[in-house]
Amino acid sequence: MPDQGIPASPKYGTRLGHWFFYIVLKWFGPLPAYFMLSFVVPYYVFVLKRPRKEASYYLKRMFPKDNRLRRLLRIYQHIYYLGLSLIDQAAIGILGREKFDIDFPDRNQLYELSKSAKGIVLLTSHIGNWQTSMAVVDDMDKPVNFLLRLEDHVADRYFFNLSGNDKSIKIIDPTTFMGGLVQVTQVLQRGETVCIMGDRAWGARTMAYKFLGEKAFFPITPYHLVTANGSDLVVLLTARTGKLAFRIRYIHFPFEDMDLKGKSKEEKINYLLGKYVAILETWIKEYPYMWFNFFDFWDVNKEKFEAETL
Amino acid sequence: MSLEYDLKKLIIEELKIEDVEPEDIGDEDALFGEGLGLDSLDAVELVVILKKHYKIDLEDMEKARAAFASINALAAYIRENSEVQ
Repeated sequence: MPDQGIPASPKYGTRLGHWFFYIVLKWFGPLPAYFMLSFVVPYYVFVLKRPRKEASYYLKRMFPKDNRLRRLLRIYQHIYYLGLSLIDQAAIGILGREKFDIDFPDRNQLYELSKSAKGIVLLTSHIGNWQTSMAVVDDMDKPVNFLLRLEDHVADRYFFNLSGNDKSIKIIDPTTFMGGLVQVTQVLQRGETVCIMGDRAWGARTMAYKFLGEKAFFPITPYHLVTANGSDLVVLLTARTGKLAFRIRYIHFPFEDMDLKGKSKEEKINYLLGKYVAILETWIKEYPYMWFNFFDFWDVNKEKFEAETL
Repeated sequence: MSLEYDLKKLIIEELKIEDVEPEDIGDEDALFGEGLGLDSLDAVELVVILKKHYKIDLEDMEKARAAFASINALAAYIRENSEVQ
């Protein structure tokens, strides 16, 4: 289980670029911001070499039979969707979720679950726009605690700082005492929800699992929290389905239904990780340009992620 | 048995530490990193142990940091904060 380093700061877009999009969003709304992408994306795809390389790690596994031209077109689409997603996540914070059409049929199930005394480990992924799902959890009765380093999430600062109802959203910094896990366990014991990204390690311990045909490394913290605390596991997946429109899928694994008896710690983690990876793969195949991990997720030797942080 | 001994036994059992006996852990040995070699994932289970066996909540992270230093520090924290010993 190699330790992964804390990812570097965002590479795509400068502070000025983020500010410019922020102003356009605030004054003119998301549609002109989407339009501006048509000028920005070609620069990243055709002028810079690095984004092409970073997008290819995933795309060559997702579409192994592509020729060079087809790959380039897919890179364009992938980076275009990244741009859309960055705009959307800032727009939800700035303009409010009322402007967005969010299709989340299981919303009440999640709200009911959050009322129970048991804590919930809420697993999200860098797919679609996970901030969208967070925009609906701030209606929950109890606080939702995010295990993340906000300084790594430039666009998220707008989301978290400017979201209309952020009183129920709390941040736990993984660079603090024990990676924030003592605090996380404490909030789970209080029956609150902890939200963790399931597809990026952030310096945490990992376990290998076959993903898109090859061994990749996933963080094990969420599953360890589930098994140690007897918490329920909820996977939330998002997808952009159109302009200002999103879909959210909810999958609930009650702790008592998990087949963990007689399993060692590693086997329990492997079992739960397998459930998550299967769900993630299915969703990615449905929305192939919406998985935003721009680094070699499959590199077994890399000691430090150099990820685009979305 | 002393609280310190009980803690060592609990840690070994609950964290499933192999080939270590309570007698092998010194009262002042570091629990994390050098010493017993626990890590942040083990800290999760330690918090669960404190809640389950001693009804203790670790609300203050600075106090938690001090308590997790050694068996002696943990025992002192429990004596100070728990009615179950």
